[in-house]
Amino acid sequence: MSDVRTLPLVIFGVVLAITLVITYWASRRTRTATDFWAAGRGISPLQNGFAIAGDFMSAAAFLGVSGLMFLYGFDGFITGVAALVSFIPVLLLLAERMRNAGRYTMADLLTFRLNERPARTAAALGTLFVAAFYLVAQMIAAGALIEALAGLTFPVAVAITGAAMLAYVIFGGMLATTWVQIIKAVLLLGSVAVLAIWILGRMDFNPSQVLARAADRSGEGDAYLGPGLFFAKPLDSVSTGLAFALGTAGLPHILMRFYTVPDARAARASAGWAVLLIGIFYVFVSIVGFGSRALLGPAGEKLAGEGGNLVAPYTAEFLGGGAGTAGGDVFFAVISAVAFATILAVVAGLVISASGAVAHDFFNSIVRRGRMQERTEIAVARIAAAAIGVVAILLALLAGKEFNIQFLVGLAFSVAASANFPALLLSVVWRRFNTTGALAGVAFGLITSVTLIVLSPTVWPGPDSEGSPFPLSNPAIVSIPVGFLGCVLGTLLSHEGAAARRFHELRVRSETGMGGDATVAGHA
Amino acid sequence: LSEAPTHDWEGLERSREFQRLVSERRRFVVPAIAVFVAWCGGFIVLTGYAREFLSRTPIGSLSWAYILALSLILMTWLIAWLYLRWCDRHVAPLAERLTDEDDEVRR
Repeated sequence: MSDVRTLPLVIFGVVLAITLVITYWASRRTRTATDFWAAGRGISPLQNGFAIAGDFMSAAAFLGVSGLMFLYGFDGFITGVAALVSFIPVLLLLAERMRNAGRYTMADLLTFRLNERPARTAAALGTLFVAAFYLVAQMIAAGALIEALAGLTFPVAVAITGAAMLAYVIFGGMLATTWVQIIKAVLLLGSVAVLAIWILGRMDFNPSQVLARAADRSGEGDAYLGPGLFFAKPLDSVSTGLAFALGTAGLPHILMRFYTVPDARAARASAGWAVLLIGIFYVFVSIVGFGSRALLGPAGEKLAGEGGNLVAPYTAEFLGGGAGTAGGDVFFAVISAVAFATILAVVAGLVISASGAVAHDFFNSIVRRGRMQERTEIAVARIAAAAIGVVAILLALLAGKEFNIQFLVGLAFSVAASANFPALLLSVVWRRFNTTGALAGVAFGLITSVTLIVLSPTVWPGPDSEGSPFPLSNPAIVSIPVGFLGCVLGTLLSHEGAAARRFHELRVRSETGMGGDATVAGHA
Repeated sequence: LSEAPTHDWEGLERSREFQRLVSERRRFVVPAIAVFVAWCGGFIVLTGYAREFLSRTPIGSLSWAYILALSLILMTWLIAWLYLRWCDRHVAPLAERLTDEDDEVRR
């Protein structure tokens, strides 16, 4: 892996340059905290739809899903579909309510009617844990990708990605992050569409033929087209499916995007656009996943790497004419660069949500009890972003590149679904829900999911080892119910009267948008 | 968050308009969530416990697994589109009216 490839590096460079120009432009428009975390609430629904899709169509979703499908067939697609479907609870239950009643972070929704400091601490912790798992997954993807595609070493590649992501967030805030996200979403959708249509074109535009050939060259026959090759245990596929189907509703960087639009209607509409775009994306990805098996066959397994993560660029190379041909090189470089842009954009979104948890939730609201100057708050956010970025870079280097990244993201989803989702949901629908309930729910969900991940076969005491104390690779099927149990027990066993009173206010505000930003701005 | 003429949140919550708004939204959300839970939950359970069935290929080489997965994507699009339409027609006008009336009262 020592031969440095020039063409991919040049295209990476172009992508970097474009995004940095955007960052410079955005930095001149980022003054207030609303600018920094919510892009001044001036993003249109269509733009936000693309940005949400951009946040969501991570390298894991593109490289990880197609890689898993290439190696194990249909099992790879389960996470993708479940992840898309999870936008239904987000759209129906959370999107508008977040926009109507919150300000910058996921914690805002919880703390509005609960006792501020403890509830915010819990939500900030939930945010940080999810962001950490997710960030590490993306950084590993970036490192492995650049190493394999451009010939730089893994640590150098991780460091470059980290530096770029920090530049976007620290200087450009949410505005830069949003535009990087939009550009990347357009590039990624375009590339996946071209790949998928090209693959279909090779097989008479008949999807059935793609699947037939893929099954044929998998050595597994029709079993390749059904579940069970990756998730050996039935409960493993159920648990992973659950994590993805409920996880989105607890992903802080996705929820935060709903603050960037002007009102509730725009929040709804942006979720609608996002669902459309992400759905199209996954249909194409499934064709790329099966198609890569049909085209490359078993010979592709070595190229694709251990987690299968690199199969998409190599499929592109094959379509372009094969290794060493001009067409193959160019197409390979373009797909690699798009994957790289994807990672940059997603890590930026994650870092900005984590910086909100540290600066807005923790320092300003908890430590300084909301007395912090806005300028100081943004300064703290920038420092926090830098610190989080450095920690993520170090963790990625420690974890190494052997993990399948979609799988790591699955763990982030299960923490999101177990720690964040129950409390967010109940704060909206359950009148009696109180602070103790939220604390207990987040704590139970977080501790259970993280502990079970440590005890699972993937981590204990090294990847894919036998004899781990917890049999499933994804804890969601246990930890989501435990999270809900924590919320319910905490609420029922404590005596707090205050929560119900503010429930009226939260309810009216979240349903109608009354007393929200527009009104506050009018006073300022 | 306290601004001069405060909202009467409890009164607003009890008002008939607000109750209508909530029930209009609920009329869509409750069945939609039920469809989501049944369809998506059913799919997830099948991937664990009906693997042999899902590997069968009823149409050409398209397996039941793939067909069901695509149907979930269609379901998501359909629910999202219907919800946006529902809100524009049944919910948003009520929210607007409530906000306007409240502004009148507090003026």
